[in-house]
Amino acid sequence: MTSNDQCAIAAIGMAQATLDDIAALRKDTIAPKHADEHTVVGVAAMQRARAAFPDGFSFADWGVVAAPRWPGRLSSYAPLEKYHREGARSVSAMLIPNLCLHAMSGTVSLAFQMHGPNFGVGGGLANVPDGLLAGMVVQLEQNLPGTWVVLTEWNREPFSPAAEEGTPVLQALALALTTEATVSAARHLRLEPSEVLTSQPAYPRLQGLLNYLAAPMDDQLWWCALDWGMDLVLGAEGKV
Amino acid sequence: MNQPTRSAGEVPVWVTGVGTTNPLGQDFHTVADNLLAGRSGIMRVTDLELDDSSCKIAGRIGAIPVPPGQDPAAFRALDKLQQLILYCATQALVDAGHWENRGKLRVGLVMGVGAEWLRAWELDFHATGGTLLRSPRGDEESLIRVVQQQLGLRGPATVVAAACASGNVALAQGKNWLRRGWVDVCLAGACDLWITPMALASFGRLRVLSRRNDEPAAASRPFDKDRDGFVLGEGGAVFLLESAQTARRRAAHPYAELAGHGATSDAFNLVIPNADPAPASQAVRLALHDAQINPDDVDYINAHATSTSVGDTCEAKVIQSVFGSTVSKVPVSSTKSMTGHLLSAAAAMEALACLIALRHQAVPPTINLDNPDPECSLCHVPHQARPQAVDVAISNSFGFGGNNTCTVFRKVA
Repeated sequence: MTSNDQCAIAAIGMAQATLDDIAALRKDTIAPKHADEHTVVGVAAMQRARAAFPDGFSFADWGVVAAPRWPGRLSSYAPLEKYHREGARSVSAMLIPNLCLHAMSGTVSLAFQMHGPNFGVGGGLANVPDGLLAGMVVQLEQNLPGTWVVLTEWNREPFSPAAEEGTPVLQALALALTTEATVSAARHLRLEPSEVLTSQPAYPRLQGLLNYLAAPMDDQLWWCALDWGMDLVLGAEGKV
Repeated sequence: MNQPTRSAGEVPVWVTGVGTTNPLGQDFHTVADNLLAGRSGIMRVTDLELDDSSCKIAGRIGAIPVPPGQDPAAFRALDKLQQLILYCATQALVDAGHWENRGKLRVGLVMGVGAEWLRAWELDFHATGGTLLRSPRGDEESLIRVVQQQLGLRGPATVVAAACASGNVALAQGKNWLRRGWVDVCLAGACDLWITPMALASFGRLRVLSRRNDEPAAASRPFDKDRDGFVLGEGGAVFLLESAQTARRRAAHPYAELAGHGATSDAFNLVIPNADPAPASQAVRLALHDAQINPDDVDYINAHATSTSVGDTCEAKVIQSVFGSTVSKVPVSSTKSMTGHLLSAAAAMEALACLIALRHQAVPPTINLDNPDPECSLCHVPHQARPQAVDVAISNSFGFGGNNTCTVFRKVA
């Protein structure tokens, strides 16, 4: 096991939006017209995180890993209904480029003019650890100045049974991962051996990570026990 | 863009096992025979109602064999994509000689699948009117986790998606996991089964599909002047990656060294490839640098070339840009002429084609290349395989989202 599976977090951006908010966000963000809801809110989180960098800062050589949970679920319903009503000619050419797992990373790389690698990861219950791990390994192995990790998920899936209360909210988190040496960062992300082994896969909700990051920085850690003998740990410098 | 610095003493990563089902066969040897014979796997789609679709042909795989350790009835009841991943992963483990001891190893699993959920929701919509979409349970497992549990694997498992470049990204991630010591061995590859009415309709509306429905075997014609779009294909390929050190210790028979990887983004358009070859050329250069080789060390280029007007021309410029004066000597072919375009699984399929070239010391052909497009002036291998020494083969794969990737495979001495 290498002893340096660690990245610094140079910037953090958060966004959340109801369906009504997303309609408004479509006008305000730089996400394209046909973008999936996940992409719209993910781009909004990126725009907020970018504010931590000086004006004119170039992300040209950065990479991006996007890990939405069930992207395209909401956006695919109407086209499917329409297909059944009207046939193949009703299907938009923009469906595939905007609803697949790679859509958000591709959109972010385009919107922020990033020429490093971009790809989607996870797509299901494990989106949070999948995204963090993939971002970490890209940053550690590909000698990039930085790698963005964008995580998105609904707090409860739209169309959920009516018995559940509350309006669905789509949450997004953008993290700028850099190597230790380049940035004096407040928080770090680290992979380390587990003290307690678990055989259950880890499906932490994004809300927990958002809560942790929104709170004042202290000695507390956010961690996720993975089912292969390792923990993902996020915390303040010197505590991780 | 900075280039990764590799230490000279770094332990190489080898491919020691292969599992596949694709339009040309269901094992390495059959696929090799068909690929080198220049046979087409494209046929008329007869199991879907495609009356108003412009394209009615595809590269199909038929029934997937029951892998060892699976109850036939239970296997047949699984979703076909799950069958495909399970079959390819099992075959790769068996082929590498790791099937029996898989429970004692940390086996990683990284799979390129671009539209797992879209496909599932679409199939459900056709069957039930959209139950899965309207009433999400919120706890649906990804197929990769289900397969991991079915195979009893202990290690990280994830899905990656870089559109048609997903397989190359999966191979890179698998290699990275090995390099960082996260796994003992890693299954990496890609699978896709997205020949569905919606996929055909959406790609059709993009006007990227061939309309040569009356001559399926002649429809996919990369680099040909008369090409009119790509033909969808389905299937997958999964590779067992392990360090050369551990492979040597157990006297494994490697297919090749996974020698290098490069990836960049166009940041130009979600769908249209960048006419400026610089970003894609940089991906190829990064891969060559990662493998510590020069362009003149390359013996074979498996092109991404899908048979679209714009894409093939752009890729030709990329190859010309990287290879300069040697471009007239390095054989280039697009095996999509035989398999069709396997979408997320395309790069994995074409990694397999590179392994076949290295194993058989022959370059697979581009079939249907009757009139090479002068805009795509390359060292083509039309119609028939070319026997020759192949020590290094590279595979270009590009995709929606401006994805550019290249993987380098090297013969193990």
